[in-house]
Amino acid sequence: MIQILLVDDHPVVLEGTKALLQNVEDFEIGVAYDSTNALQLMNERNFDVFLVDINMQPVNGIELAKMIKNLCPNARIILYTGYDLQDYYDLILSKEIDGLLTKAVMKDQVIHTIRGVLRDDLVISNDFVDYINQKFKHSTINSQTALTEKELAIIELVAKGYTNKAIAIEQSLTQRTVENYLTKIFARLNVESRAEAVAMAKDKGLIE
Amino acid sequence: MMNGIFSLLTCITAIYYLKAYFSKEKMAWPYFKNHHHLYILVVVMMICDSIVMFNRSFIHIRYIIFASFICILGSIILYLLIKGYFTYRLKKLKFLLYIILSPILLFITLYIVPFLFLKRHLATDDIAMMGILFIPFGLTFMALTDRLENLNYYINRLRYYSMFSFISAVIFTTAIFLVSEGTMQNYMQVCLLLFFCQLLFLYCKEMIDFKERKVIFTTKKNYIHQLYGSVNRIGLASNRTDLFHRLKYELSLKLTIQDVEIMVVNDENSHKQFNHLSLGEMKKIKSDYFTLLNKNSIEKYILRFSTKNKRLNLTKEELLWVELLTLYVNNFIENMRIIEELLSEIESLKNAQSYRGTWIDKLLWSMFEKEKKQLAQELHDTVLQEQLHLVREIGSQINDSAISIQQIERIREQLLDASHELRAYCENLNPPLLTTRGLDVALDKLIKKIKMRANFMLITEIERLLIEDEVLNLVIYRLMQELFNNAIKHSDATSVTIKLYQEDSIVQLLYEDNGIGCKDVQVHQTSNSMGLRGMMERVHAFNGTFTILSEINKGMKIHVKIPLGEGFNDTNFISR
Repeated sequence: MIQILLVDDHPVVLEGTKALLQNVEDFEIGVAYDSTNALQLMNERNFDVFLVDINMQPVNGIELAKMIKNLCPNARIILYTGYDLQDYYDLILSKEIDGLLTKAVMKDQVIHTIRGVLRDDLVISNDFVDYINQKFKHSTINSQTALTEKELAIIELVAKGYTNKAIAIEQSLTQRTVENYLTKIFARLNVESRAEAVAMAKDKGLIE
Repeated sequence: MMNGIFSLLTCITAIYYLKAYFSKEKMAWPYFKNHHHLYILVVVMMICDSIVMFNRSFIHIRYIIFASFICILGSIILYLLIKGYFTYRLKKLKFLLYIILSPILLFITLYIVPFLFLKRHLATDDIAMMGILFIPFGLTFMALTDRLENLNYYINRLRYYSMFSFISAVIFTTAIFLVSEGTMQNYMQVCLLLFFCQLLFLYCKEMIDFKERKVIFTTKKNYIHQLYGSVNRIGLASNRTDLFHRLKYELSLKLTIQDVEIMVVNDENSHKQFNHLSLGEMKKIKSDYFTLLNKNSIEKYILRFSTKNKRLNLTKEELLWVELLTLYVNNFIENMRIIEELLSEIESLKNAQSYRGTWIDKLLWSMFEKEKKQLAQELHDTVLQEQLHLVREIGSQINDSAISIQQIERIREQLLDASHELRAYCENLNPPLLTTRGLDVALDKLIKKIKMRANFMLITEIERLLIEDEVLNLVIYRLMQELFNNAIKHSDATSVTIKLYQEDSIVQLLYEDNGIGCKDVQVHQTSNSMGLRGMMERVHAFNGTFTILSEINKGMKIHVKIPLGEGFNDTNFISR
């Protein structure tokens, strides 16, 4: 049996996640509503995987992860959050945590990630590579500057001074999608900002 | 023997005097309205005295009767005085009490007490009653002090009239002596007759003068006295208008003129004739007298009164009196102005303080309200609308038994969009990274987001700061956020540079853009810059400085310095 402890100070999310994983045959689920509660449960029994919410009061998930690693270096810790995962990629690099999940993911992905971290696999979205690239400034995809049609349309609108919202309306997309496109464009052009992207695109003759 | 009766009469007179005094001071008389019955005591005393004349042995009984009568009258007087004093608390009554009480006490100690205990007197009744004789003296003295000033005036007037009458009488008599013959006695008689006739004439003239022309006899001394009184009365004025009113009143009363005027003259409407007027100096132009009362940088106050239809000229004493009075009035006005200035200064200080307080409160309130309103509007327009849309969509699927995977997938995507937006609002309201990952990571994320949205080239140099104070971290984060927002919304810049570093326990934030800039004053006043204004207040709350350098079309530079380790006095400020 795989012993899993869920730590979250939102009862609705806590129960929801528990319900999600309860029917998995080889999972045994424990729940804790805050860090103190979690540490108490750790004294009573051993856990293999910890699924910890980041935004908790008064001790947040990152601090709790450190405590858990101190007490039990073999424990696998997966942080899960409603916010952007990219903000926590460096915690994976520093090996403070073993995985990351957003609260919007589906059941399969949660199970997949839990099984992954137990096999010492890194189960993570592929934009982690963009993060690594940007972090170490040696882009392996520098040559692949060809942008898709959609990306070109977007960068052209950016060059015209459209805001992301305006682009979303113009292209019948959501702002989230536009920003996703922009991230991809930035990665392709090896830049970090709209202004740089426009300059680079002009430089490479992609747009007028 | 007779003195016994007179003693009683004195006491009764004293009661009469008190009644008169009470009615003069408008006090209620606390004894019988009619007190002629007191004379019965005198009559009884007279009968006793006459019995004593025939029968010497009756003298003892007479003493007892006399002593008891005096006691009765004395206690009536005492009662009246004490009752009057305790009802009205007049100082004069207290004085009166002493005047009357001390002789009576003297009488009791010298006469009655020894008689009752030793059966003999230390002094005869007449001597013992001597003290009572001082009562009228005391009363006279009291009455005189009230009128002594007037007495002085009467004596002066008498001396003046006598001298005048005497000299003219002597001159006339000498003239008669030269042209006619007669005895010395005749001349003396003529002289005396002339003297008294003239004295009488002068008094008559004075009465007629007073009745017909309101002119009264005055001497130099009396003018000084009048000036003293006038200055006192004018000094009671509480403002300039009142002062002028009082001055006019004094002048019209003392100089018996009606045509008194105080003119306000400024440089534009000033006549040439007014330029030569100086303080404390009367100028006569035709039948009008002019003098300068007071002048300040803007205007002059000029006193004018007319002697038309009146005596030809003012006497020298009168002129002197007016001039002195105007000098005093000038002083009053000057002092009054200084006081007014000080008062208005205090008032303006008070106002400035309360104004500042309410101004800040209003600003903060309107800032928060504006933010709330904006957030509510945005949430309503985005997340709420999307949620409602999804609710409708799911609702329409309920009756439809076969829901396609694609439909659910689409609904999930829309929900993800909605939560993405909601998350953006949450991050904006309370950046979660600031508490979980610290300022450094939070700023990184903020910059990334700005780069994703802004069109300008953003150059950043962010030093890793280690600040323990959570509120200060938040302030720095908000400063950056506000600077970026300002740059996106208002600057129209193509390049923005921002540097954050620490130097000798001072956090420094440098912002520079090449946008349209603005005038310094606009930063303070326009509602668009309310964010900047709010930032300033936040920085000031941390004892920091906030400097803006900007010119139209020449970009904007902002330099913020916040000292570390300085206590933040009002922690409510942020949470408010």
